[in-house]
Amino acid sequence: MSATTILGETRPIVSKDEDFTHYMTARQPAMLRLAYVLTGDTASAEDLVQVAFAKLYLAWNRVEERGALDGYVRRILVNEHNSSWRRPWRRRERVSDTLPDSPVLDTYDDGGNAELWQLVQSLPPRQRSVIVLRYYEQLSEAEIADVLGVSPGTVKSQASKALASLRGRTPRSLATGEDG
Amino acid sequence: MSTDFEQQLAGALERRASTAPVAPQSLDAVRHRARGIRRRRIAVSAAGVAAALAVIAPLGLSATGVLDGDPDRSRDIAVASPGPSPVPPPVTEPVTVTTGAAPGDAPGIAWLEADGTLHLPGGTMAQAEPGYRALSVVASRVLAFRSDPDTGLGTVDEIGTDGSVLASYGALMAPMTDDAGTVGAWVDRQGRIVWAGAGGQTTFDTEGNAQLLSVDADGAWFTPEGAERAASRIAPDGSVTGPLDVLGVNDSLGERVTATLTYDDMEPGSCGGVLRGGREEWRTCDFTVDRFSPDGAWVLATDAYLDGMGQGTLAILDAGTGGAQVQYEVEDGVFFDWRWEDAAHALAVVHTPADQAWQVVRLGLDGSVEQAVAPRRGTDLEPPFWLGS
Repeated sequence: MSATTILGETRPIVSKDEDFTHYMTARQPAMLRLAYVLTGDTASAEDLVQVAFAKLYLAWNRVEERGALDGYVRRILVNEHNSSWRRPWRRRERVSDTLPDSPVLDTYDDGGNAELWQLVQSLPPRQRSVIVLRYYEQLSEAEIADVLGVSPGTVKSQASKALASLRGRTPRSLATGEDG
Repeated sequence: MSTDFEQQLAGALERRASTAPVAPQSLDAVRHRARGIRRRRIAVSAAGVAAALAVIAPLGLSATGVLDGDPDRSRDIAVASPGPSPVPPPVTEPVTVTTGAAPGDAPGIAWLEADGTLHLPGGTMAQAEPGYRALSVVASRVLAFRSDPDTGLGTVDEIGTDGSVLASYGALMAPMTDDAGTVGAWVDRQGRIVWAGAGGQTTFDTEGNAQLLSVDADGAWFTPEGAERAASRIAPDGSVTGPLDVLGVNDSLGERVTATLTYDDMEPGSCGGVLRGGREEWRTCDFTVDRFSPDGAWVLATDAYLDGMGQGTLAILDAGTGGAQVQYEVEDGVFFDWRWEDAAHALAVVHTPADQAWQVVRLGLDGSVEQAVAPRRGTDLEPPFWLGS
């Protein structure tokens, strides 16, 4: 394999498609899961991930820091998802020839997970994003602020409201023992 | 410390995600989608130049105010924009910013370096502690903003001439100022708007955390927490006007605001424009319309869509018509920060990946590019300097 020297660093020559495919193959499952938790349905999740990877593909040569790729894709995913809700027509029901998702069978669920999942899905998009990034992606408030392009104070406020909303609507059997 | 409920929430999300019935994308599908996005971006860019020429050509108003019907001269004259200097003709081809521009004067506005060096207007400097990420001069007070890397909590420090901290204020954001630096505002940790001017500081309580959008001598534009399409202005006396039916106010100058009106992730893009007294004067879907020049004749504008990768375009538009005066691009790189230096020049912090360099460039109405701060090596993740206000 030939190599090239860029700023003193020797790297093997790999085509853009090869390099991109390597990353996409490795990280796509995780990004699909994140998109699914954000959107709540299969078709939207797949569409969101396709847009995110397409934008990454267009910008591939601009990304110097390969360690930052996940951060870039996560930011595109979340911001795409949030901004899509600013379009009024997206909020209305649409006629579709696509069948709705089949219910997911969770053999470990006693009903509580499904309940919580439904409650998270009912949150406004930005609050849902904050909850997903905090409790699914395990990001800090500062990291969430960076992803969403808002202040950490806004993240804190949105998270607090979302948690209060979730707790207020969670059946007592699930919500016991909180507030430590 | 997470509670039982939070742990249960995390578990529910993890379990649902692990069973998500989603199918992976192929490279072909992604490339096809990418081609579509690129086609739309090119179409938007071409339409922008064509629209600009269409606006400019028929007007043909000369600098002396004489109507001029000669199409060959129309490009020499441009639109009627106020200002002491003759307006250069619009630049029809995008200008690419590289690290090869000629060195020019240092920035004429405040700016700071990552090591804590504060450069103040007039050429004076102060050495503060490292870690500040924004700098403002408000009514002769030097205000620098930092945030705790662990907690994210922000602080506005008032800095003395020797770099020492004279006073500190908890804040959710860095201060915003008007162009002249006579007034400024920020949001404190209680979500209230702190207004600062020659007469001292006043705190205005708003419902929930206010999101501050823009500041000028007449007041501060903000969005109440949770509000959509509802930008209001609070005056220094506390009176509130509005709201405007816009997604956001990006800058304000008296009765005029630059605003984002619509946002479209499918095209993708956004539309925005200039409103006067709440009435739309013009709109464009080619750019995000941002800051007014100090004389109000021009606006800085950026890409119409933010995709998390940074801005690749910085344009100067006629504030009266939206016509493009000049469009700057940075090949594969990003414009990180931008401000007006005076009525005819903008400053921008730029990163060019080809040589992994950060620099501050001075961009003219005529397409000229100068180095205001010489290139410095670094990755695109952390700029070594920031422009102040």
